[in-house]
Amino acid sequence: MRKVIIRSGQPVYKQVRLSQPGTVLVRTGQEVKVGDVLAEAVIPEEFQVFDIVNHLKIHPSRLDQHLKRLNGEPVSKGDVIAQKPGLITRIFRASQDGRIVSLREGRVTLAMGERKLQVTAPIAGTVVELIPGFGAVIGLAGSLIQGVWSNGLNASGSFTRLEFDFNDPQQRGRLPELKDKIVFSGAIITFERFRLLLAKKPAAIVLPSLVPALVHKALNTTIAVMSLNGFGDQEIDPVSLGLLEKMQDQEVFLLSDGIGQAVELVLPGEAGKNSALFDEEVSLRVGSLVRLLGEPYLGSTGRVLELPEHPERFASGLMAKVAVVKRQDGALIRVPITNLLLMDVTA
Amino acid sequence: MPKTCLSIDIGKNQTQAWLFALKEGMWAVEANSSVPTVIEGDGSQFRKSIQTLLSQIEQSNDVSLLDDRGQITNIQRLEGAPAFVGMSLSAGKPVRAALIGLSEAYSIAPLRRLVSLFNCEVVLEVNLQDNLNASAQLERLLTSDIELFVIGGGANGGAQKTLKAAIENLRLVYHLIPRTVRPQIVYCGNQDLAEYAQSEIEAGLDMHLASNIQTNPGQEDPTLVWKAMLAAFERLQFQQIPGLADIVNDLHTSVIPSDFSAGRMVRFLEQSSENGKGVLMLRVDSDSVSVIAARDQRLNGINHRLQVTDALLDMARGLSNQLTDVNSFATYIYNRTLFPDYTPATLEDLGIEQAWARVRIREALNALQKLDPHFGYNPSLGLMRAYEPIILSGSEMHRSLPHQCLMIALDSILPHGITTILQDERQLLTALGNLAPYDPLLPVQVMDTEVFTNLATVITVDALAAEGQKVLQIEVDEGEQTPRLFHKIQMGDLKRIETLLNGKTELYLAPEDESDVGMGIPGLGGWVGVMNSKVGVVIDARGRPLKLPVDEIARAEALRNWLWELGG
Repeated sequence: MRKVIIRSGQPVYKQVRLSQPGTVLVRTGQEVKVGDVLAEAVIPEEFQVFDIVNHLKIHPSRLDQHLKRLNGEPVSKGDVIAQKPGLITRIFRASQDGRIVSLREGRVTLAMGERKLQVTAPIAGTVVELIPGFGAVIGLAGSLIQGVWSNGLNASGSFTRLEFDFNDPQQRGRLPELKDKIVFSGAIITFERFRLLLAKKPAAIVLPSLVPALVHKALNTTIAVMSLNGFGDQEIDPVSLGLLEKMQDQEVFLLSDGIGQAVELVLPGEAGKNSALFDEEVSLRVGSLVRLLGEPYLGSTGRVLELPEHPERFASGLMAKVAVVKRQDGALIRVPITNLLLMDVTA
Repeated sequence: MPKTCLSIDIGKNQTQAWLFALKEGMWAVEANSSVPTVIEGDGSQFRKSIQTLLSQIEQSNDVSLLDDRGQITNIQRLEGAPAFVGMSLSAGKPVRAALIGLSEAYSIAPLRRLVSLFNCEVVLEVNLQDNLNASAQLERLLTSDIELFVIGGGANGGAQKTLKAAIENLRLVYHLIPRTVRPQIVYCGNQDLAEYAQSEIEAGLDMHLASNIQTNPGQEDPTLVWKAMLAAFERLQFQQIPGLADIVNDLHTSVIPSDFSAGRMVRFLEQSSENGKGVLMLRVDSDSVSVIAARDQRLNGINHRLQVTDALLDMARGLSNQLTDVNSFATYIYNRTLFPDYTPATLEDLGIEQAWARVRIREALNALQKLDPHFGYNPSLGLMRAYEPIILSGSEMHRSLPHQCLMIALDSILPHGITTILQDERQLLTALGNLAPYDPLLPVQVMDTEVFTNLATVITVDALAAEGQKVLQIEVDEGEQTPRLFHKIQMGDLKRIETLLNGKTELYLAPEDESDVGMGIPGLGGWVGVMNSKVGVVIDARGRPLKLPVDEIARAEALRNWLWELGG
């Protein structure tokens, strides 16, 4: 069953890895700051394939006589690689520093320049595990709010909860400065409101949910976007709101698992009573706090009162295992277990 | 202790196992079980999940699958173990494939059809006739993070120059750039260059040689390349799913793509059928739709994943039998991508879910049509060529009621003529496809026991008549004990006729002169015998393309009425 963690004093682990093998530059136990390079791979910047036989009009059997360099040799810009003397001398020179990586069938391939692929720490912490050849896992403790969707971008900045009434004509044009901040708005953010927020150049925008019309826009912006609950016009739950209030004006980090994937909002701080070593696997049980995933209760939360053993039939005619949930307003409802998101919250 | 065999399918959400037993000379399904698929992590959770699955099968059956401590072990050392184990996989990301060929028609298109059965996503196509210079070609091959290179093209004994240059580039790609996953290379082009490719690329076991996919100019035979593709697929999955290689080793099996496995059975059904029609299978899962079609000895398939767009949402909303505003409809669909296991609990949820399934199936059929122009699907006119049976499976179909399942299929496939629609509720096509190479008799005997649910016989009336005009008269003969029933079918009707519980129901179709019921020519009718089915005989005279009222309320009502006619 899918769950989200909303806790303070929570161990947080972030895996950072290269897309291809390289060299890991940190060691276990090392403290890293935001932006520190954890691993890098060096690859040629570009390749050049040159057909010596055809371009210099050389007979294949005489190729060796005209080649000035061997396979694997480093070359500098301007070095002659092949030359055909005559009335008009024909020459093939290296256009950049590099290395000959192939010399076959009358073709020479040069690997030129070098490009470094690096992965950096998106958050400060301790290297708790190395991923040999690829990267490392950074560990830290702090307050953590997991969201279910992001546009794939990471961010960091001072957290601010936007208290702005978009409906108030008196406030029109008076949106506060948000530059480089991670801003949360509990209001329904329409296309126009989203455009206004983006114009303030925040580091990230955190929303309880994203209206479907904004998905395309959110995916195409360079500003990180996080949705706590998913899509629609859902409200934030009190537990998340309480933790967000503690983050006010603090330096927080938004760490995404990728485009359309889960995301975490982290406020580094003291470790709590929980330790990863003794963490109990949280599972759905009587008393669990859950978020409802379907209409007409989309986004609301409640506590599980009962978990009947046998599946039940719903209005749709489908059978499913259910949970009896007491919503915050006191209403008791029977919901398919698949339509619940387990909330792992501070007790 | 009877002889047994085990089939395992590692699906996107669920991993299933089926135990088959040989009793009195006949193979039959003995048990099946499932656990959630877990392939992330270091492999320990994956191994544990397979262990749980095997333990569930072992508990209620006379078979040994685990050692005394309940651990997976070398299965051949166990007394009472299955005689053989088959395994398929559709979990994980699709394989990122590059196709390299000498021409669009003779090599790239056949390669596309080839890889589509192997859970591949084509991320790069290099047509060697495009006159890309060698540097540009190399750049493209290097920058696409390819896991599988498939090289085709060239007739045996034909021109070699451009193909040789591409092979040289592949050598560089393979050796120069370090990668997380060692790419696999399948060569199925000009056979004169096969050995050259192998010695030049020097990829060892990552190189897979096959016969030329192009047997004659304009003729292709992908079956010649299947063995090489299967080997490449398995080596890639071993690198991508930690722990898979050990399990495959312990169970003494090999792992093949789930669609390929189901395709084996679809192909077998087509070859053993005498009706001259093709066989079509649709597997509708929460995040993808697989379409596999066998016809005229050709097997093609596709696993299609649909990206949500405004246009598709609009199309789906027009196919919902519930009135849902644009925003709520889109919210449901987007949230569904985040929580694919969501159960539609209300009628509105169900209406959206089933409308979206219709669009997903239509788009998948259309994608197969683009891949294989002989498939015969037209997005507005429907499936123009004859396929019988049409087999439905997958988690989305499994949770729908039979008449809902049939309605989704009818509205998206839009069949013509007469066909039978079956449901593979237990996903046996994949299970049997895994085991077919070990004992070809097994799938034959299991399928003989009517393991598929007969949903309905569908008779489509093609006519250019006006709405309400009579297009067909049906006489129903349920035996001598009951009086014959007569039904008048008008243009626009969707009618259900119940079938006899035991035995055949005989129908006499008497179409109007301009009405075509699939008997060969318009106006021609005759007797049709149908077996009992869950929904019955469905007469679809709604016309092609399907005409739905423009008004939202009327449209939803029409869709509800049709569903009601089929069963409520």
